[in-house]
Amino acid sequence: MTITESDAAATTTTAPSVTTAVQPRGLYELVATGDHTTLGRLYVLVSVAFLAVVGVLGVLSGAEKLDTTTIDVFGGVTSAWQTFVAFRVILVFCGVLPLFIGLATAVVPLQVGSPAIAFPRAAAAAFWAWLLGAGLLVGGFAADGGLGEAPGLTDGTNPDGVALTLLAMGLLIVALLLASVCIATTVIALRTPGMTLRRVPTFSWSMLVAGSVWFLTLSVLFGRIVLAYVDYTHGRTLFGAEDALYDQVRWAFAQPTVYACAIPALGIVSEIVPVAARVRQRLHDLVLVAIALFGLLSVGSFASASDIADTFVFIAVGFVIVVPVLALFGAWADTLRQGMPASSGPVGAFALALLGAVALFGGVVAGMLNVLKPLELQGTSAVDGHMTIVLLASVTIGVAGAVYWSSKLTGRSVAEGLARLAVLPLVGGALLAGGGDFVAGFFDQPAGLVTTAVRDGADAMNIVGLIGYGVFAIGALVVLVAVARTFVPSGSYAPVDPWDGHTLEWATGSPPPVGNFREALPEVRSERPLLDLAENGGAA
Amino acid sequence: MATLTDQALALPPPAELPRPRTLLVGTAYATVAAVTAFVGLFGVYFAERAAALKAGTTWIDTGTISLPPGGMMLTTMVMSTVTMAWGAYAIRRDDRSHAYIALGLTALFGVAVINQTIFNYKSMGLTVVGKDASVQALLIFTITGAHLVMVAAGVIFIGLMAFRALAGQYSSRQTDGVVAASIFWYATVAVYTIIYFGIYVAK
Repeated sequence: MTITESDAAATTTTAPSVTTAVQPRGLYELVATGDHTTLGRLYVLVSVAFLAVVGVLGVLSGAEKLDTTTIDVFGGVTSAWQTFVAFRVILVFCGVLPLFIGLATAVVPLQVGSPAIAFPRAAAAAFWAWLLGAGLLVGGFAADGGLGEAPGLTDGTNPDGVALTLLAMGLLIVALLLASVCIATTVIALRTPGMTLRRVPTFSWSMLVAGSVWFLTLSVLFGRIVLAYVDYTHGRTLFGAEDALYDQVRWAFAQPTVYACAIPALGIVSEIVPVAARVRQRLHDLVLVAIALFGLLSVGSFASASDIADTFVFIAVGFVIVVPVLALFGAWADTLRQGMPASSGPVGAFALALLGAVALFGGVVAGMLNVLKPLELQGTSAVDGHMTIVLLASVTIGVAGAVYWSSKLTGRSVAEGLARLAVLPLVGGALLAGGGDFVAGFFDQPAGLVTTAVRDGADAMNIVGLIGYGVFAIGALVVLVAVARTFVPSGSYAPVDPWDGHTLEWATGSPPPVGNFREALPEVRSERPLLDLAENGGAA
Repeated sequence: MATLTDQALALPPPAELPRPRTLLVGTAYATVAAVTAFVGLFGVYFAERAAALKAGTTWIDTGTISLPPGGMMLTTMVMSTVTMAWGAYAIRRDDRSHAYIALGLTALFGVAVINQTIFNYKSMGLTVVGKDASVQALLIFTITGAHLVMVAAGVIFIGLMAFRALAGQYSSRQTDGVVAASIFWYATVAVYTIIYFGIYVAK
């Protein structure tokens, strides 16, 4: 079967010399660059650093839970509450979402055969605005601000710090939405000839779905934050009251909205599995539909209203969202039935992706149990545990993507040994940290900051949770070291296609040259043009 | 023997311009995000209003918000949709002078709406500061303030596209910028229509 109009040489010789790669020199060029690869690698490096910070915050919060009757680790109840909130906010807005956006900023233009990302200056503005927002967010929490006080537990916050935190969250959302506009527009408008939406690689497809879902959820969150900010800085009538601020944003960290953070993860797994197995992705159309359905079900703006736990839609979504995940597992299993990963392939990335997906499935099942009325888990720490599992599993898969595409990000591959070393800490940490809180919910441990005595079983689960956060933090540090090492200049660049990849990003240099592709790409005639080429022995 | 005119007529048509539609698609996404933010705010507003009415209290007292300024704003915005459509129509026909007039008028209407909104704020008997602060005032000022920002963004967008058209970037062969600006502007008008009927009229 023929999939490209050119012969093998036309495609496989597009690897540029490294001298043509985009490498900003000096601070000015770095700040002024609109190169998507540079922006993507910056996103990934900073977000991985934030994930290590998140791991430490998780450990501190977990340690505080060892004795729920006293505040031992922090100076006061408000500090403990702020750490609890900071874990969530930083994890989502400085860790998970920017990690995926960074990968997409670097990889999506390559995957769709575009010479650049759409609106490169807007993409650059989005990154620097995000970085500023992340700095302000950390500053807001450090200045004793955060999102106000825990309901019913008051010992004072710094009003300027709270206002700064709200401003920072607003800025972060605007920046992430702007970056999403650039990515989604690239997928819609800048595809190479022949690449229909059905032929778009699964990661690019997942980012298109995710971006669309984020427009429908993050913008509602932005509205709530504006409302809270205006009220907080003026009358504090309702939405801006000290103990009501977190209520304005809590829904963004709970189901179904939290699943929106996991959409790109599904695309990454779908990219890595067939390449590792060296076969074509089975049921490609089903994969696209399943990712789209997962995205549709994760539009959780309706959950911003209070008292939705008993509504039919909330319960139904909790159940139905298992279906697309099962469909994806079926497609991946069917693919792996055709061929198993070889030791020369992306084993580290494959293990991270697949085990991360298993952890994500565990999170989805936990979410299903959470909406079961007879179990009465709403309002318990099971809700927190569910969020933790979903987000940390998504992080694990995001790290798999960073390892898999590292040669395209920086020109150097992540050391395979370090990638494999990170697998168990990340996956195990995600499951233990979230699982501890989730099971503690069965022992009626309340959600949020716990300041009352809990039952014995919950005590034990809190210890498990602390171990999980610690293990995850170690995994995040390993990843940070592994990713940072690829930024250090060394003598050799990675090969153009280290994994025998199937999609267009593997047809250009590592890192890509200016304009991404040296020559005009031939017309694409399937979703895996390079695999088609390999299967035909390079013949047209 | 072929004349010069014949040869000129026999020339092949110019190559079709690449039309990746990036600006249209990007604007559509940004517009969806902006409108969704308003949908979320309207949801909060109507939920609070319904709760107040269910409790048997008055949401906004009669006379607190005067209708004529809001009505004038609606009229202005509706007129701006006509001029915006005129601008897009004119640029498609290379009628540049009319395109500039139409885009300029649309921007002028936008500035007028900003002016009217500020006038409306001063005439409203609502405040978000001090002991008289209320949830109603908070929601109305937040929603209409956000709309004010959207109008300002729309005016800037239209102005930028008008200058680009002036520089020859947009013509009958490439109208994306002006059409993109019109998409955003129509959304701005649609949001105000909901504000007018949902907040000012329904109270």
